[in-house]
Amino acid sequence: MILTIEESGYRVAWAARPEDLPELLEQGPQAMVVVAEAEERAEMLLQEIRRARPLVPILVAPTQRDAARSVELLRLGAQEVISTPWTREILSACLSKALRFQGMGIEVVRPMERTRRGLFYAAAAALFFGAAFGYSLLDFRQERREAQPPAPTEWDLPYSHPAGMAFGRGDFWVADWYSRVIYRHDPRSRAVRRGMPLPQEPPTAIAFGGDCLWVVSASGVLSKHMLDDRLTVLSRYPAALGQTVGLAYDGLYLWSLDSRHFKLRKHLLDERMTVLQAYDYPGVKPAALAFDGKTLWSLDAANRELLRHDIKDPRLVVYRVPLREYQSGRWRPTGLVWDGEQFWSVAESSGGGELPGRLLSHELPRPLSKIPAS
Amino acid sequence: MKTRAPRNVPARFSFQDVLLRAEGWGHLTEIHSAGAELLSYFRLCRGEALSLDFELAGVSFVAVRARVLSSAKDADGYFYADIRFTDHEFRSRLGAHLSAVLAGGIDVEIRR
Repeated sequence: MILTIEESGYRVAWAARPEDLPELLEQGPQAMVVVAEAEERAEMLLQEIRRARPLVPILVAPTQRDAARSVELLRLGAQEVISTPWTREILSACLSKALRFQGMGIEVVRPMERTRRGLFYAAAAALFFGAAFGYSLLDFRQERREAQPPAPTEWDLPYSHPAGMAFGRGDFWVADWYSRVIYRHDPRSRAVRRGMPLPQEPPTAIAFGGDCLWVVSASGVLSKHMLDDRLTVLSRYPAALGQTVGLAYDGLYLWSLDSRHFKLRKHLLDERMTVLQAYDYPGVKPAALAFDGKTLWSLDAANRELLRHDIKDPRLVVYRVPLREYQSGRWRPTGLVWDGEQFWSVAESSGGGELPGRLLSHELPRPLSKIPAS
Repeated sequence: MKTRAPRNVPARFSFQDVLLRAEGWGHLTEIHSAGAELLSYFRLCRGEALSLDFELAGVSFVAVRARVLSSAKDADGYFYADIRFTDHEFRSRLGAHLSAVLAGGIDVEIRR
């Protein structure tokens, strides 16, 4: 196929393995991308490429001709699906059509300037007096508000050893390693809706993966669970992960945070949970991991701060946010989630014993201050 | 009245008159209650009878019978085929669906 495309007048850069794809895309810009002979990985590669290059046409060339699957790939975002046999005529037609595809136009339109008139000055004066009145009213209300007690940000949990946390189906899910139960909490009242036992091994981290729940145990066994009342095991991956304290799913890959080797690992969801990349953790003591829909965040228990990572290279930390809730040292964080609006964490008492575990909410300051690049 | 959708609709089609001819696929670049314009690199000839499957605004249409009214090959080697739906009951159903889609704010051409 490469030879035929080159004979049609195109310059080709290619990756032999899906693992080499990110590096190839970084070399860009590309006029189009062809996914060939990927078979069952085609959907995953399509999503990966669309995420990295959302405006580039993608053509898929499977080795088997299947009209139903081809239409499904078109619905997922492929510009075209090239049928076998990959003759020069068909390849030329598809590539040429993809290059002509112009797509949606995007531009920034500068607002038009207007000449000022007397009405403008009258409006400005009215605005000034209105703002002055509004400020005095706000000041009065602020004084009244300060007299009221602040809303709580910490709550006791009805169990003592929370080990991991996830947010899914509108609820908080918290794993307790001692009782080997996953508790499902109402996010508004924090009340327990249901407790689901996991008798096999004590859980240390959990994460939602679309329509399933991923659980990693103390011995590093990863299991995939159905979201039913019994959390039925769908598959198990013995010794897939190390001493894991955090799990996060970014829509395509599963990320694990290893507290023994201080590694952040990116896993492909195949039968071996292949590690695509392993990054050195840029903090001191990794405690938890979360995905906010755009990038990864981790909780550093030693520095008691939240780290925002660059998802392309998680060794790079974009923001560091001190968490005042942990500055006293009374609590040891063990789980972290993003519920779409703010971060929540769970923690064990640092002194051990049978003190109840803790659920904490974290309001991040606006705007977040950047750390200087080093 | 004609408005444009953000993407073309993928469609699968099979040939009714020719045995053992493999299924093909393409995009509907325009659609109205009586027919559509089908863009595909599979050869489409005037007079051919097709059976189409496509999904429009969340509703799936399966085994829709149509005939190619005219077909032209463009500079890229793709076929633009003007097709007409041959099932009158389906035309009425599609027309009602397109009306509902337009009323809901999703852009599709509607002509009678």
